[in-house]
Amino acid sequence: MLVFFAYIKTSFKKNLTYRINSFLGIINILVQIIISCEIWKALYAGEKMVNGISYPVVVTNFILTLGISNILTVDDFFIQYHINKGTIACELLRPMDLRKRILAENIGGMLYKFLVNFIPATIIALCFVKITLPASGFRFVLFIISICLGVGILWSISLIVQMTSFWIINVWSVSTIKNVIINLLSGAVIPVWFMPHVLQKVVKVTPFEAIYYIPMQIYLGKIKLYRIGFCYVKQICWIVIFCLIGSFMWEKGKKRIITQGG
Amino acid sequence: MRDTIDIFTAYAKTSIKAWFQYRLDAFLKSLSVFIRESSNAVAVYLTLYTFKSIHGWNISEMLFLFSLLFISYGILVIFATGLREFESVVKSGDLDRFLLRPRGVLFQIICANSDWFAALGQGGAGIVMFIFATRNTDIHWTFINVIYLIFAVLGGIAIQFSVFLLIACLNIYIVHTENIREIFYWNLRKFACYPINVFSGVIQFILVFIVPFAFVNYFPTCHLLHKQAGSQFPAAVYYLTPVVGIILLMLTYLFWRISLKHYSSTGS
Repeated sequence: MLVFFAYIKTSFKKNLTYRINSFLGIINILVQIIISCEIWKALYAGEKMVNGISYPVVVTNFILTLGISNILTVDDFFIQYHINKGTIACELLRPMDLRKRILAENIGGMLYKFLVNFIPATIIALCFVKITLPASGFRFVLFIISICLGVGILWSISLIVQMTSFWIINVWSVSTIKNVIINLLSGAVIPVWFMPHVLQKVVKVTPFEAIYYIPMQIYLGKIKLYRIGFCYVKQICWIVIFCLIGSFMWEKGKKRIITQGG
Repeated sequence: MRDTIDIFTAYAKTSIKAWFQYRLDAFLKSLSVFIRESSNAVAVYLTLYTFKSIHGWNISEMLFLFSLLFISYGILVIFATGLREFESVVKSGDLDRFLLRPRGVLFQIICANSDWFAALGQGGAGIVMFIFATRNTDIHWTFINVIYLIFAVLGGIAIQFSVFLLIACLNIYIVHTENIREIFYWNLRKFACYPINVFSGVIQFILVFIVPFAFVNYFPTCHLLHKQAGSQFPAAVYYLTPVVGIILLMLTYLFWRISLKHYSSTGS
């Protein structure tokens, strides 16, 4: 466990070395917040409610999903990098499970993005826009738990993408297409409320709902308290399913490593 | 002149061979760029499914706006990949080699590398959107309008090329410019995906005067689709795209010549 935390710490520090990148990350988020606020304002065009959703709710939804999706940029190329370099052999020899190490590094990166990019950008943005507060303090705690589970889902999907690098040389295309699908269907670009009904139904039976939409619904108080437990179970189920697929691929893939150079 | 064309084709052949070495991978990469860029359009389509229009722009008009941006980038990237990756040329000291050869440095940079995946992916996405957009808008394809469109695209390419060239010049002075491009090109480009009239005055000012993305797609689209660009802009803006492009090209080329004189190798 100590090693695990050591990896988190190093990864956090590694990110912190590039100061200008931190600054850039803040600008990136700010630009996206500005664009979306203005676009949604134009879309609402003075109307109070559209589909029963008010403008401040959309902005809140947007800022929070943007925050989460920004924090969650998982490096899909870790395994591929080591396979191409040939260093995967050394990585496999280490006494720590490679997947645990990836998790630790990712958590470090996420912490960095949360503290250094998201928090400052949100503070600046909050000077200009108003967001809706969570329904209650207790709900906020439930929301955080749900987000952590959402992170888990995204991470386990990324794990599967990474595992494909045992079979294909370049996972860039797989990773790009995965990101597009997740962004579109999970409500990161357009909130699930505004999707056509057919698509909403699709989203509700796929894992996409469980990434941003469930946490947001909890935050806004749109899910009754007694149903939140059920939502958690749903999220956990998806994590378990994806991790099982990932582990299966890991066991198969490990046996067919071809190192190139090294 | 013939000599120049020969070199250009020889360069293009090698670069295509290098990029398409792994055929399946090349196909997948182009496809994923195509999907990534199209997803912007899909997002707008889904949004407008509920809202019908944004600031008076419907889905076809928005697609037209997108398509000009993507088509111009698709062509631009064939010529400007070397400038986009100029930072590594300076860092590795490869620029010294370019300087020693008996051809213009800019010529070599333009020829030596082209990001064909982005060209196919983004250009392809742009063309598909263009076809969808024009089917549902009442553009009269008169001779004048076709000529106007061609000049608008060429002007748009020239404007973006100048931005790339300017950032490449800065490389010579400060070596690390990845972040500058991220802020001044990629971030501002996100604004250009929407009718800029939606945004506040400061952003409009930046998109017209600082990094003139407005001329790349907004003003030409307004003109072709008979839309009001906004009362704050004089009527002349619709025709200025090629002019802005040429002026920027000349200015940045001048700066490029001056910068090269100041070049001192990184020594590695």
